[in-house]
Amino acid sequence: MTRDQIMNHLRERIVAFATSRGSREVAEDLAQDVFMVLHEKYSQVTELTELVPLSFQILRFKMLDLHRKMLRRGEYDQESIDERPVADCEGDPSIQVEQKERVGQLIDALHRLGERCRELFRLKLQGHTFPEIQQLFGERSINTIYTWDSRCRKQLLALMGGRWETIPLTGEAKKSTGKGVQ
Amino acid sequence: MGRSWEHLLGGYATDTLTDEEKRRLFEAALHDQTLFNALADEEALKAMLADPEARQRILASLEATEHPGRVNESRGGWLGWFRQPSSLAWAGSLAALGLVLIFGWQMEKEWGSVVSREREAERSSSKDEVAFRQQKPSDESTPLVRKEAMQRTPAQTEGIEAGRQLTPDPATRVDANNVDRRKHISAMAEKESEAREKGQAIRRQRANEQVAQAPSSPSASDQPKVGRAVQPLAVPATPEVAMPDMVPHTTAPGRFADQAAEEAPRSSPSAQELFYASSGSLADEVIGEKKDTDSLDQGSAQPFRGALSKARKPPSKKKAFSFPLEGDVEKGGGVPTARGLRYSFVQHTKADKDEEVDSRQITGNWSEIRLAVESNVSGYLYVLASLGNGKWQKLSTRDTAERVKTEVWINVKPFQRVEFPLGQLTNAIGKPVVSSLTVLLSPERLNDLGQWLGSDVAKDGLLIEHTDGVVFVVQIEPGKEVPLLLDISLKD
Repeated sequence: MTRDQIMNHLRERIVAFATSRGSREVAEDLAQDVFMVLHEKYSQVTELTELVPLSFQILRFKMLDLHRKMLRRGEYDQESIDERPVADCEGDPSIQVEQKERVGQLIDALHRLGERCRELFRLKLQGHTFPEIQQLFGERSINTIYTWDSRCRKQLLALMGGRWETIPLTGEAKKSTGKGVQ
Repeated sequence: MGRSWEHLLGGYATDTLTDEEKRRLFEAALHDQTLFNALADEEALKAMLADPEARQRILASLEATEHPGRVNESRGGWLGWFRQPSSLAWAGSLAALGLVLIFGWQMEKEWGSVVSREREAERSSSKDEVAFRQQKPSDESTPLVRKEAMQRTPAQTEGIEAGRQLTPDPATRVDANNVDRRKHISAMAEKESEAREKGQAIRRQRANEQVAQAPSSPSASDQPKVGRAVQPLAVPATPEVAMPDMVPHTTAPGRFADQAAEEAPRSSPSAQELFYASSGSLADEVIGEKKDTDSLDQGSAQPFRGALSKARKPPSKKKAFSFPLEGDVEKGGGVPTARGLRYSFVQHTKADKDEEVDSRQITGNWSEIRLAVESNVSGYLYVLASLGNGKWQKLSTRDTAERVKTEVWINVKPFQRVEFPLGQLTNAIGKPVVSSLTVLLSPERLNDLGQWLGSDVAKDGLLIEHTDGVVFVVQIEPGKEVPLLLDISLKD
């Protein structure tokens, strides 16, 4: 699959994903911002296994940036996102606090999982791949490990409230902004 | 969702997917919006775990609360192997195989020599056996008799074969005056009662081996229940019927019908054979039966009441198939019978079994030994110990502590085993205080017991055989007026 083919698929998926979280207009803008970054900064990346996760990462940053912008400027922010630099997560203390809180929540959720799920997560954090985990568990089929991991992930996601991170866009941002003002 | 890519989502956040897994996942994501959305959501967790500080914090938290039996490198070792079902199956199979080998080894250890002897005996008689079977193809025994033959253990048949040895036992003392008489008896007995002898001997052997838990007191009355209860049903319809078929391996079938007849004229029957030869006749005789009503009133007979009840005796119709009674013998139309005693010293082993031992093997405490006596006819049994100066002490079937006043005699049934604890004759260190015991067996109650005690008259004409700790004493010329008198030494 060539880079152009990958990019065509990516655009379609990014717009659809962003639309599910906000308006179509905002979604197209987000997709365009992502592609701009990919073209300008990562034009040398052509591999599928690198391009797709990279696009996810850029998309997330863009969404966070949009979210912060909406919070900062209000619901009808007219300022173009192009005029704003990509947000630096590391430098924002509030972001760091939020992440620290999320890590705490994640640890609490992990402790509420079963022993096998905790062990599985621990091994993954240690950098073991699924085939390696299969060997460590002594299981004959790797599908068993896949199944265990999928169930554990669902449990963990449920314990975390259904989402790893909440990035409200448009309508949700309005509500949260309004509540903040009041 | 049930889609294969879903299983890879968990590895995306931790960045632990292999290149192949990544390729599969991302290709699928480009064609599946749901997966794409899921991956986009997973990006938040990935970013969280990408932070080394956060990752280390989570990892430390997990390791701190980790269960001691957690998965670690050793889990891939023997424990992990043991958790697999296939491994458990292998382990179970190996354990079962080990048990089978141990069991087989034990069986070989116990029965190997016996089986080899049986095979030799079988080979030696195979030709005669085949001929015999061809001559009598319809010799099918009754199911019960066949069952009994199948249950017969090699050790029992070994005892039988030992009893059939043609060479005279050096321990056997034969009265020279009765040799001709005995040969005459044996020739007749061998011809007509060989099969019955074998059946009775086998049953007696088995009953003796089953004595293991026998109590030390008149509970010996239970013994006939074990050994004799099945006797009426076990007696074959005709003496020559199917004994070769009944004992195809262990007792060399051909010898019953063919060889035994040839052997009889040139060999003397042992006391053991004569003892059991009469089992078919005098066992059913009414010598003591007519005294039953008297004996049951006696205190000494109380423990034995019902030991061999009439219900357990052969039905009257069975008598048609049994050996002739003594009355028939006297008329010259039946098989001569010999009144006999069988006695042994019984020791309770550590294996919680009773074992018959030779008196010479008893080196320890005699107080734990029991004298087991049984007769092949019904009658009155007297077991006495001479205390010197003309004083005699009767032996009780009970322990000394439970000794009660009873009659000096015990009314016994044929093959009723009676046990006398010798603790009543031992001193503080367990040694017997008397050197011998005197045993009398009389068909009638003796009113002049003193006449026989110390007399050698009744000791004449006895055929004695020592076999594996068991002593058979047979009165060659039984007479109702002369009791069987026997001395048993306690200091060999």
